[in-house]
Amino acid sequence: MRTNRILLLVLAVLLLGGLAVNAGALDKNTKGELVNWTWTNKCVDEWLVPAFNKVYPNIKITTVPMAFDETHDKIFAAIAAGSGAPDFATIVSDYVQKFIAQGGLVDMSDYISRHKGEFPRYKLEMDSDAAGHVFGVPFNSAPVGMWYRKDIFDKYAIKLPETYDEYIAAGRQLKKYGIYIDSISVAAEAMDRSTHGEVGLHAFLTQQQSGSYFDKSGKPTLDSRESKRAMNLMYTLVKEGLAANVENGSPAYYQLMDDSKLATVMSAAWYINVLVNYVKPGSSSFGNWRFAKLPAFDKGGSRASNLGGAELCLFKQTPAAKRDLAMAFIDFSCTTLEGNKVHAQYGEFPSWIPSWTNPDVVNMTWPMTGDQKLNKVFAEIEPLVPAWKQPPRYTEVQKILQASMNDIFVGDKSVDQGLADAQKEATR
Amino acid sequence: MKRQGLGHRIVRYRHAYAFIAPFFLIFAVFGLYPTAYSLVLSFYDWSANQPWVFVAFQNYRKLLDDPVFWTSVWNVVYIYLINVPAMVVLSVIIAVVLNSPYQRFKDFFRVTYLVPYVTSVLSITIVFFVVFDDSRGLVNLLLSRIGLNPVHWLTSKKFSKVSLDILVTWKWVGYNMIIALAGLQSIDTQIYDACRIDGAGTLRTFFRISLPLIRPVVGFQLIMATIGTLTMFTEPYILTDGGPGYSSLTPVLYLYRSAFKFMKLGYGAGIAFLTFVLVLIPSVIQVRLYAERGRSYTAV
Repeated sequence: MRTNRILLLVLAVLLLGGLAVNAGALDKNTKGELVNWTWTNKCVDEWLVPAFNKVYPNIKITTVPMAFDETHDKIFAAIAAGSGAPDFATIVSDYVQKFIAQGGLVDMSDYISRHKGEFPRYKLEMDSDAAGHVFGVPFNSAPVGMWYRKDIFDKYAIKLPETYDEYIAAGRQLKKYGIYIDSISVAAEAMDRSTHGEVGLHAFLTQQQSGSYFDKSGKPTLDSRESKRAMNLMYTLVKEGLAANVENGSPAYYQLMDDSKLATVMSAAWYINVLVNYVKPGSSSFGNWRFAKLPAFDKGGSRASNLGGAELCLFKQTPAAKRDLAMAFIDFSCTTLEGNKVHAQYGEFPSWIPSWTNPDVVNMTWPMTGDQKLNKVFAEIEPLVPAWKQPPRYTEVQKILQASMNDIFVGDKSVDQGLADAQKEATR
Repeated sequence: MKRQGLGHRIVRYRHAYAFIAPFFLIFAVFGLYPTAYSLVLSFYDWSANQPWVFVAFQNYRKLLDDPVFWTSVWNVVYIYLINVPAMVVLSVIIAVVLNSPYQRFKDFFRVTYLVPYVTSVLSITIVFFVVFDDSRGLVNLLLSRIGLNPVHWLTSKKFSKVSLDILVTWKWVGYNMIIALAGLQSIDTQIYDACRIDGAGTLRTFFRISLPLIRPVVGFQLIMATIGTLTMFTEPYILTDGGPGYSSLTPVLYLYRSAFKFMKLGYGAGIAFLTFVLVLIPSVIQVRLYAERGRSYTAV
């Protein structure tokens, strides 16, 4: 009787173990086919998948390229419908909570626990539910800083700003020469419509101050002190004409870049992809871009924030037979040096901490940024990024904030009034 | 004679019913069922993974108090008031010109005017996005050449709807021109001969004869334009994303956002049906105004 109980217990453990997400134990000759949805299709399809297939040659991965917002909208629809989800997908860190709330993602806690301490804490928080279960594996991180034109700064003897007061002063100095310190469209674009959008800019400026769009109870706090400081900074740049009124990623924006009229871009590590795709040899900015930490709001204050970054997630709809295959890809991409080197070289800074000290990753350079070792700077910023776990309503309050931004930028409302109105609408 | 039952009629005309059945089956599965599902959903609160919670008319009550929704309704009314008259008037004028016996290269012009209609709305919107660019767009370039200040077509609340009007008018005037042309060509030429004999000039003939006789065609244009404008989605989604602020948000774009971005599927379904009612009212009025007893619309 007792033996039977022990045998039953062992059987139960084995069964549960089999149901849990498993990785790393897959035979290299395993055959199978997977479908992946992502907006970073070039990184995944052209770089990672071929590298993965060197290890697992018989696992065919079909990458379905989609636009950033389309990826997330379709994932939402597929989970709500109960069918149609891919085998795995790339999901931006800010939106993972939405899909956790939907209940459509597979719990990856078991896998993450085997890689304890290998991912930034803020990333795992963003991927976790209230009980601490983790539903995504951090794929790449997006530490934010100031991309700047070294040639412009040298030419006009601009010192690298350490505070936003110094940043504004630099902007005033450059304005005399017809150069903009950054670009801010008064129309206020969403994060998914341009390289980062004004909404994204406000978000990371708020996060930099350890602020949030929600309090611990989930109530919106769009008129918080941090949000106001961020908006005041943006409004100052707009009002004084220090920021060009162009949409990021628009033809006018790139023309400013070509004409050396854009001195800095506040953006994330992945902005290197924009530079790689746009700045060609012969361009005035080729070789002249550099990356520095964000200025601080107060002297000695935080100079770290995040804008984007992605996780690789499995879906509950993924057939059991395919989960191991998908986990093999996720494991390769997220927690092997080989996989992380591939997407680091592509320009997606890896979330996997052990890769940050690998000489191949640290010493990576890109021709448009001269000889600067960008990953070294990203790795210095990443551990200092404040938490930014936003509830599923995050998308909605972003849109509400976006609507108020235009009123503020064109001067129809003051910063305080605009944010108060946004707060009122968000809590309606 | 004994009246034949429905079953008997179906059997007797079974071949006819077999031919028309596929449409109705597809309509039932892909049209009627989702519509009914959506109507039922509008009486529930369904977001994320929560089970459906019956809320009766709460979604509709919230909508009636939702300033963003009514802003979107006002936006499409504004777009309609500018776009539709301009489009109909232009299409009729062009049709009259192309119907003239003295007009040369008619086929060329007909095809040219129809090209915007057959081009993907997504492609057109992307091109207009560049054309309306504040600093590098073609329109502002032309304005600056004639000494005018550039206009913030897409980045100002004042002009965001005007940009949509221009795009939509440009895209649909060709289609409406073809409809108007078909209407003009259905008019018996003997009527025009009689007018000439009676000494009526071109303008008088147009206003007293052509226009009244193509009234049902114009009515059809207005009804289709009403439905199309009030349910606009792709153009504002690509061109302005409903902004700046909510200045170019349309009800269907708001529906899409509420359902798929804000995860308020029940609320989105409510927006769908309230929009349906708001579109139905002017459409029914127009049908009653323009339908003439005993005269069917020109087949288009």
